[in-house]
Amino acid sequence: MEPRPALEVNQLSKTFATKNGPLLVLDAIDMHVNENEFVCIVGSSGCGKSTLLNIVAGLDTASQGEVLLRGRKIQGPGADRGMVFQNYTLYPWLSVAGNVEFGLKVSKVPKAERQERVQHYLDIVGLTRFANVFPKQLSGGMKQRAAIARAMANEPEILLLDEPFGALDCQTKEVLQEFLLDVAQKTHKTFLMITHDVEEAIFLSERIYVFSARPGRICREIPIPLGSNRDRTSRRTSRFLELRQDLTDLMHGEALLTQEAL
Amino acid sequence: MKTLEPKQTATNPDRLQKPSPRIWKIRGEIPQSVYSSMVVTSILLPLAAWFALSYSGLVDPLFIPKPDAVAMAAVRMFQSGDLPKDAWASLSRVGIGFCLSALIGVPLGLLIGTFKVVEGLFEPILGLFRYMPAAAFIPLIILWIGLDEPAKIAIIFLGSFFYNTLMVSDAVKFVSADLIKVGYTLGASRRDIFFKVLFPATLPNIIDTLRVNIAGAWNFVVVAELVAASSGLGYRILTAQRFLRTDEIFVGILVIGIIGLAIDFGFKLLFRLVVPWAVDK
Ligand SMILES: Nc1ncnc2c1ncn2[C@@H]1O[C@H](COP(=O)(O)OP(=O)(O)OP(=O)(O)O)[C@@H](O)[C@H]1O
Ligand SMILES: [Mg+2]
Repeated sequence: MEPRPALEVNQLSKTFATKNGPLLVLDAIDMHVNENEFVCIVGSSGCGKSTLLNIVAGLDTASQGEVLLRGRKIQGPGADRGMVFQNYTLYPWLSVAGNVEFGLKVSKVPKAERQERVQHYLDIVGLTRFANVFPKQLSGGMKQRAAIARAMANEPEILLLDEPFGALDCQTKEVLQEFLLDVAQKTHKTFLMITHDVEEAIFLSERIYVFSARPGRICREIPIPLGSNRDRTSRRTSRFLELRQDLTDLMHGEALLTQEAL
Repeated sequence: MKTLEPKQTATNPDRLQKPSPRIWKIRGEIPQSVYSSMVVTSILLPLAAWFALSYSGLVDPLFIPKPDAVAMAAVRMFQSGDLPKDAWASLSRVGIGFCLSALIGVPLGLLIGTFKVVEGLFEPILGLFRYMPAAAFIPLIILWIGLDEPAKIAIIFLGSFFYNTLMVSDAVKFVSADLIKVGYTLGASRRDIFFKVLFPATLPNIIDTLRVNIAGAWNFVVVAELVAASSGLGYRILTAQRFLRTDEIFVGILVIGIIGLAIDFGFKLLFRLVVPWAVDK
């Protein structure tokens, strides 16, 4: 029997009320993320990816349909779903350790355990040396690593990442992708990540949902059979390049279609 | 590549290489020595003008007293105990009036910025009051409260309360929505968001708001004392004018300025101590 997915999105639609009338942004989305799976959503800008992730996080509500986390219907935001945003969202008044501790504090985790977990996750993201500095002293890549540690310290059932590396330069981005891959392999967590970087999606995920725009729909679901022993050299394998070519072509076609629709 | 046009290569480097004068770089850093000499100049120049005008005898000492006369008046007023007493009277008025205004204004501003309901209830009316000059309320206040201390405190309160409240509420609205969202995804309750996200995020702005507005309140105490008082720096200036003691007026104004500067410095220090993370550089 198939294991029950960690996250299920059933027939989810979202309509925004705008000045020019209702705007259908997401249309009947059906998708799921299995336990310990890394899933990416790719799609062109404006196709509703962030909207979907916000609904999953409970920060926005669906117009129709539902989101289930381990079978429970999502009603609002909660510590069971961690989120990392594209913009830097570390709290500037807290040290790096203070940021990682934030979620534990509001959930009233006892102090000893708090400190232990903070240390553990700072160690995982390699920021132990920077525990006591303010976020403004960190580089962009370090900020996102700290944000990932902060989300993971809560030990959520799923991690939601909204283009976490979108604002970084190419080199930093690659390093962080490898870092995230490593974290995913080490921690066996469940990840749902948004990106519009095809290579990033293939490198990290076991499955990819491709979105088409206006309204956002799932136009393809692509398994990435690269196995679980990936490292940076995987990027150069012919299998990888082939997948990248296919996905790029697919997205290019989608982009052309939406251009015509405009 | 051979697409570069020779014309471009001939003109562009010229434009690029033209050195811009270092101290006029927009928002650029300048050597500390240059900066210090600017500061010294800005103080010395008016002083020099004052010395020149008064000692040359070009201007009647009734209008511009000689610096030594002012210094002597200062010593005299200090020794007689008048000056410390007046300064203290003014300071305590501002202290009480402004503290009250901050104690009510800051929490109210935070609530206005946080909850639309509170915004609807208070913002329009406060916005209206903000444009009614507090000085114009002085006659009413005298009529309602009288001429005593409470009246002066009320004037200072009125003169700073609306600004404190509305500036704090604006600061709350400027807190990035992402900081709030991420708080929720970390398990924060609305209460946590208010006290552990919105409040600390606004704190630098709150301190700065108070620093700016206490300058206004400090000006206001003089206005309040010019109207009716038997102590305070404003009162001292008014009395000096009655006796044509221009030197004492000078002393009064200088002391007001120096105390104001000290208050400003105090708030800047507070900023560095309380919210070091928000200090530039
Ligand atoms: N609150 C809102 N009100 C009205 N329209 C909205 C709102 N939020 C988003 N939209 C619209 O919904 C569409 C999808 O937005 P969304 O941010 O989800 O796209 P996205 O796929 O994340 O794009 P990007 O890759 O640029 O981040 C956009 O056309 C946007 O203008
Ligand atoms: Mg987005």
